[in-house]
Amino acid sequence: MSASIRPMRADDLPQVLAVERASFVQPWSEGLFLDELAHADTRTWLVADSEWGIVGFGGLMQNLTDGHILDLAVRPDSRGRGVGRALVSALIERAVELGIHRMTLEVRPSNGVAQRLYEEAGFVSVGRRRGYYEDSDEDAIIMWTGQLSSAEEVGTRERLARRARASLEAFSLEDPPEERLAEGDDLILAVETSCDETAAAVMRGGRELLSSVVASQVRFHARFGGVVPEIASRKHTEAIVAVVSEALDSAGIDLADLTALAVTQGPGLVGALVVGLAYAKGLALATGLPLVGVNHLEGHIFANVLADPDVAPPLVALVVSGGHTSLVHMPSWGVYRTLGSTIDDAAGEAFDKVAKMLGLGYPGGPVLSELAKKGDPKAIRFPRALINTADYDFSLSGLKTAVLTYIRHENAAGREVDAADVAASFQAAVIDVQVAKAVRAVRECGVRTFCLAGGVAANEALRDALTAAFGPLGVLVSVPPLTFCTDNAAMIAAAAHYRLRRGELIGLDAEALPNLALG
Amino acid sequence: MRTVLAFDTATDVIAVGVGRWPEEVEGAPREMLAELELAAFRAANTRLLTSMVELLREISLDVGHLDAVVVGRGPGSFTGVRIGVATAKGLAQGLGVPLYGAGTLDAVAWRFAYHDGLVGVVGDAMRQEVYPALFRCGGGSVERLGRDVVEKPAETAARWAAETGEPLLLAGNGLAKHRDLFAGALRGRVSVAPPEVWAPSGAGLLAAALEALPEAGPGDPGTLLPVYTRLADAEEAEARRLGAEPGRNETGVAGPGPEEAR
Repeated sequence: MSASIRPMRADDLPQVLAVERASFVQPWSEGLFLDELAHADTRTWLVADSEWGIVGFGGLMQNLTDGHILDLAVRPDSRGRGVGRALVSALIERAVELGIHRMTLEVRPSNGVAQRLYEEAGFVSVGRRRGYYEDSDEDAIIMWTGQLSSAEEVGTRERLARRARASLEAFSLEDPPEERLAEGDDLILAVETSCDETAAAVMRGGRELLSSVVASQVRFHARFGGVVPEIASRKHTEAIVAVVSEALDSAGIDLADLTALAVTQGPGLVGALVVGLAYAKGLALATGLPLVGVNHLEGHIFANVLADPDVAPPLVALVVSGGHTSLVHMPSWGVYRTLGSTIDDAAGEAFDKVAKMLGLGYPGGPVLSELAKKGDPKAIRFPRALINTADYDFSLSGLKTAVLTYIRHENAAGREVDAADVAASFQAAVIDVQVAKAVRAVRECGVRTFCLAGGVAANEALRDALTAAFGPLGVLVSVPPLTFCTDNAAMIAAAAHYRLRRGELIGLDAEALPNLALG
Repeated sequence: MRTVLAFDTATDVIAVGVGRWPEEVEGAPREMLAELELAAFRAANTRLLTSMVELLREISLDVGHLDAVVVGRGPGSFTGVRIGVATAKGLAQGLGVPLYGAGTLDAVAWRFAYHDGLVGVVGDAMRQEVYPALFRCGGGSVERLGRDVVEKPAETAARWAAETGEPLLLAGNGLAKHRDLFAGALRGRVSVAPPEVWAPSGAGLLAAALEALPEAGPGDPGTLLPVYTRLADAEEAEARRLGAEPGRNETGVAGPGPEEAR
């Protein structure tokens, strides 16, 4: 149960080429590798070998006293286990033996994992080479080490070597690698604290949910008729360690088993986000695990992906919750375009406020929806704000005021207000606008999949109206199960899986982004 | 010896310290390895960990060498305190080491452990209020006199004028706004430390936490809480509405509603 670093041989090439092809859009050819191996005077090629075969390799070219790392790749099923670190460490040690003074390399700006590794190894970004990667028209970041003989580089190198030895000794792929390649086998612990739920979840490969823990604070906020940000922040601080411990325990996972950590970076209540982010960064520094920052709205969309394997981009999603109302176009994995969002109140917020006007308590949105079933949606004609505008924005504060005005007017006239009719008519006004805009968005984006997401996705009337509108158009309507509609960390872990695969990481200087936009 | 990292983000200054604690507490020496103070107005979340890593790197350590973590619990900026406490919880849980708390004001007072006499630390509580605490210092030790509270500065000054009859050395970031008020109320027997020593230091945090260690328990990262001294505004308003004195629960832990409590 370990891996070791040794020089590359010609008979390694079939395995090396497989790793190379799995790692790069424009892989090197067999001929190129043979040519490299033939120039042993200036070239050093190493492989990381294990009982599961070759799990990575790297190459170094010597140019007098400069050393240039030419290529470095790790087999997809073996990433996140320190193989890359061990290879870089070994290449630098070899460079020192060869009398090399400084080392350099190029790396893609989009490859955060690699940059982090090279920084750990003492490389510093010094500039860019324009359009270096022709396939994606991306620049290359040029990195250099300092003088390898300097005290600082010696210290960096020794620490790197220590960690590399530990990674190699601990290296293991429990299952046969073939089975793990398809979905990815990353184990992600995600933390979510953007509003009033402290949540943590452990997920394997972006799909297999091992645990999901949600500590709801709702009873601490209920008597104030809404979420009190300061109380939310305090409760997150109290609960976070226990919630994470429970998620790990019920998944049967130890921190040392994890591939990465994930945390909601925004949007949400800033004070609440700060707690989860600070905690996750502390945990990341302690464990050495990469940290993925997830957009909360992206998480809600991934709740659909998690619940239904057929849900895949291109799609349009309507995210409706207590804090958000947004229409999002997702043309492909990881690409988002926010078409429009509310310019004042979120849908869930409006439901809760109208419920309060009708004396239904807090959080009254679900109670209001239940009451609406008994009322006549056409009894009162409330305004449908922005229903005919060309944009995809929503406005709910005018509707809220109209309901309040109606109730006051009826009371003043001495007439009894039929709460069920008010609830049904209010709900119909909200739903009409959302359905109209959702249908137009799906048409204009030319997609065949529509996702409803967020806490308000639990609203039956909204689900029914969307299904009725999209059914005849042959559009797949996806609605996640109730437990994934409201805030949870499983959806954050699912979204993080894709970001991790693209190497999108955040650093220890990451900041909470309360107004983070999607796309 | 145990290698311990301490930090505090309750004020606008990030304080970090690395030191060694003896295995046995009583009378044993302690040692500082490195310290850092960084003015970081509203930037604790972006700068705390990077500056900490840098400090450890300077003394050729990394977090894997740590045997315990100490964090300043406040009182101070609510969000600032939570950044420190939440970071410390993640760090200690991830490392599997104990997490201990130190009072932010205590850490300031420990700067004056060799000043023989009374030291008043005045933390800025915003909204024209302060977090005051009195300490008896001298001979390398510090004794806290009273618990953390939040008060109008005039009330604190009047109280200290009445309760103490000896010279008083003042420190703390609350003096930036209220220095003249304290000087007036404690006329003739007050001196003010220079602003460079108004914030907590890494060494102060380590000393304060070591002093409190015998009563600190096992250092469970899950149970350590900030010291707020105030409830959330919504809860204070509720308590006033119900005609009750707002709860002065030190950790400011929101309880169940009044109905539930009955």
